[in-house]
Amino acid sequence: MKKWTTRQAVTGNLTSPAGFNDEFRSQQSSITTLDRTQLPTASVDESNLADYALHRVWYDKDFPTGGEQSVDKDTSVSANMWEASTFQVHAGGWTSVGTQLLQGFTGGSLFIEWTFNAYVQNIFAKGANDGRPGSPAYMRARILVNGVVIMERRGTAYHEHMRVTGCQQLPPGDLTVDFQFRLTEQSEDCALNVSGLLNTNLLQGHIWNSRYLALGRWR
Amino acid sequence: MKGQVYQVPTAGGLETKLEQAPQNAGQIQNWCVDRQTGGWSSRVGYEPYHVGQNTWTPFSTCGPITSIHARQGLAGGARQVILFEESGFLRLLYEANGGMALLTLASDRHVPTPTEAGAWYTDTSYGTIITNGVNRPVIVKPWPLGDTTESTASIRRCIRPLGFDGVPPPVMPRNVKPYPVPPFATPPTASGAGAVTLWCPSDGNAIPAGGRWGLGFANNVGGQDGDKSSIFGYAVSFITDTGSEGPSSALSSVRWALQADAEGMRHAVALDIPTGPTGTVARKLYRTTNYSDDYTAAGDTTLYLIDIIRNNVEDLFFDATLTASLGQPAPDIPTGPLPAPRARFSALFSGCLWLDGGIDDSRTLYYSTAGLIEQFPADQFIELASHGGGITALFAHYTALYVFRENSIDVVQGSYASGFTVSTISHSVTCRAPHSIQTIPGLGVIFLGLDGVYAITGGLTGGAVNDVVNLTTAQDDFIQRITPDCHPRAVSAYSELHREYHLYLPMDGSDRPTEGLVLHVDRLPQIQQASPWTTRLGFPVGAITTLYDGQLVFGHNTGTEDTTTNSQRGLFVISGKRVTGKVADGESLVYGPPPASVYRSAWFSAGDGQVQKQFMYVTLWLMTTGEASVQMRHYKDFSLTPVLERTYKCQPPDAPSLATLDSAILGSATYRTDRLVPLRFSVAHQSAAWFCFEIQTTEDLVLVGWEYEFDSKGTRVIAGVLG
Repeated sequence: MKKWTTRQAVTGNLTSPAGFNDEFRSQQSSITTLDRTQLPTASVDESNLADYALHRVWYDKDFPTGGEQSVDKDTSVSANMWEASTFQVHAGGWTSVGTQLLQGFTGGSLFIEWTFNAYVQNIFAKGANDGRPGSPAYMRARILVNGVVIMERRGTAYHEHMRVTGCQQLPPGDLTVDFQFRLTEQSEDCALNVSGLLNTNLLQGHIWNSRYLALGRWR
Repeated sequence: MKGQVYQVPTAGGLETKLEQAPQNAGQIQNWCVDRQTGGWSSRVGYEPYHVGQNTWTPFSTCGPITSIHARQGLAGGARQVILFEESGFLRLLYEANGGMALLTLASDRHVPTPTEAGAWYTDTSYGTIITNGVNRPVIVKPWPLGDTTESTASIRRCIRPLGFDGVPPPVMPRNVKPYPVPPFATPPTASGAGAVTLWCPSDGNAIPAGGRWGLGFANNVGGQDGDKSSIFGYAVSFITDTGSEGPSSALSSVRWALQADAEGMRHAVALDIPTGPTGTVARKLYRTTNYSDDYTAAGDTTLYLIDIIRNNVEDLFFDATLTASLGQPAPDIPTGPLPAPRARFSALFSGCLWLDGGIDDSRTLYYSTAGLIEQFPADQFIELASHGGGITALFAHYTALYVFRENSIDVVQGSYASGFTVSTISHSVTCRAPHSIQTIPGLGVIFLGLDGVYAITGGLTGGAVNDVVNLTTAQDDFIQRITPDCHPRAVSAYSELHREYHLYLPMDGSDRPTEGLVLHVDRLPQIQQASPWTTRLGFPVGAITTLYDGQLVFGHNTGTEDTTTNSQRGLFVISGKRVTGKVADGESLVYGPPPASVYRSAWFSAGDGQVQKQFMYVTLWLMTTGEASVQMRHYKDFSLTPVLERTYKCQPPDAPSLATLDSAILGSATYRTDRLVPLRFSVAHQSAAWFCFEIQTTEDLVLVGWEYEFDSKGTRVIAGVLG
């Protein structure tokens, strides 16, 4: 910050130590009040920045392994169905697809994006015989960071691509990110089994081609 | 022959009142305290804020600067920006990426008249609040601005009006068309003309969590409820980025009634909600219960919170909140719009933002809710007693908010939770110079009164003693030169770097500051022995402030109003540079000449002004500074005709001269510490009843003290002149 004169060296003045020291000592303070934004143009480039000094990216294009949720995995389904979430194995509530530790977060803005293809069984969503208006089923999705929800969406019905993004200012420290989904609860007379095959469960929801990207930007 | 000797070990500051204390000075202009000796050093000057330039860029178009403020954005002096006003423009000096750009936050702002103070700045954690008594108060938060190129566009987002203009536009509920009777042959999909049919089943078998949602009557089986209507009222309020909630909109209602034999459906209401002005970050939506005569709360339009909409974008809201799920009631005492849209002064005290009512409401103080600086409930104001006159400044200090008024000084004490009280601490001292108020360590609050510079010392709580003292009773001749009506144009700053309180005053009929009065805090402990005041001449200060590190930055008092080509303009820094800014030299700018420092001692009578003395020697105790020359001038008996004596150099008189810069030979000259030496001048003017000496310099001089050597034969002056 210091850029003005404390003691000017004028022709004819004594060669006095104080004449030098007064000016020099006040110039020494200039480094203590520099903000990163006050640096001269292009003074910071790759050659003098350590890795992750300003930001850091974490990603996985197959998350969890294989890019497919395997927490709900019902094997009692027809051969042409995913071994996936059925009402017979789905515990209800929020189900974690997987957690990821983001190490080395040093405080600031965290952007997270989770994308996947979702399949939701919606054919009998209305209920077969209850005479009430239909209410479609959805694949809800949310992202938690250190146990706190930062983004939640109602999600898709049918068979669609879905993208959930969230952004939050967070303190320094390692972050645990949890990716969760939740099926719409079954209605009064939902179809639970393949027609006529009582031992073959009907797939209700599935996540595949799942991937995430997290971008931390320090202040 | 050795005569009588009078010694002054430490030279004092300004004293104009006769008879002067001998150690003080009748004139002391452009000196600062030398840290090594406690004496006076002539190493003062001012240089452009933007150093190393041959033009006035970026200040080329700047007129007189009437107010200035250095805003601190982050701890450690980072994100420091300078805000100032000139010619109706509110400017921001943005230093980024090594460049310096002048950005315009607002234009067509009021230019203070010679009897009005410049704009008033108060830093809050949400931004800097700027008031000037005419324009609507604004809040400025200059971050982020991007690089110097991007900042010209992004600067527009950094300023917005403070507080709320008025009530928001009303919420517009769309008509509710109830669901038809069973068996739901044709569920309505679109009702036309904006009406909606949003049914909310109450049976858990129909939807998950059935019965949790919906408004109004649900059951009209048999037509017994066919006449029952549902009426709901809505209101919205805005929340700004300071967390403050504004006034609620007027109530707007929607009404519907179920068809006969309808069963099972409550309804949701679609609302068109207004978006707020700049600075709005959220909206609070309120609703009544069903206040139709058919329900238990007939006519009760108490509002309850439904939801906070955390954006300022969405314009459609579906309300399906059960009456049982409503939130807390709206505040009992409604928040009003900004009560002081022409406030002149602001202050933060006890967590509240305090505003005066402005010129036409000048005896009223308004205060916000604690922690919410834009939220002004209708009952939060204090009407001051009428005899003290209008408010002339607000200044928060220690446990009180000082309210300076035209004819008194009041203090506000207390807290937001327990209530505030106002009391008067002075009926006789008047401050009409709001920008003269500063806090001085070891002293208290200092300000310019009509008849001198005063300090409010001590505290107000716990048995502390409080006093209002005049610090310039011995400098009255100087104070009386201030242009009386232009007191509001006085400006000041306290610099912890220089340990000086600088007060620049419009003098001798001028309409803007022309001369400075400086209080040297280092001299306060000896205030009983020696005056702590000096004056500054030739420093064109229009407005002054300090940076994070205590540097004194000032805005020029004429700028482009002086139409001379390349006349001085923009911002300058008071520093150790021995120059007076920059001046034109052809097409370029060069440093101006050093300011002249003058020291004239007090008139000295050796205790008896009737007795004639023969002064023989004046010995100046100086720190050696090299080739700087000292010429002695002396005066007698209040005559202003000087007698000039010989010229000495500031070198040791009884030792070889010390090496000096630009003439020392490398390898032979060495650094030598400065020495305290006597330079003895022989003075001769026969006899004098009163005596004083004067030195003038534009070179580096450090005056520590002096001594007189004189003799007296006891001759007395003539008794008087016969009339």
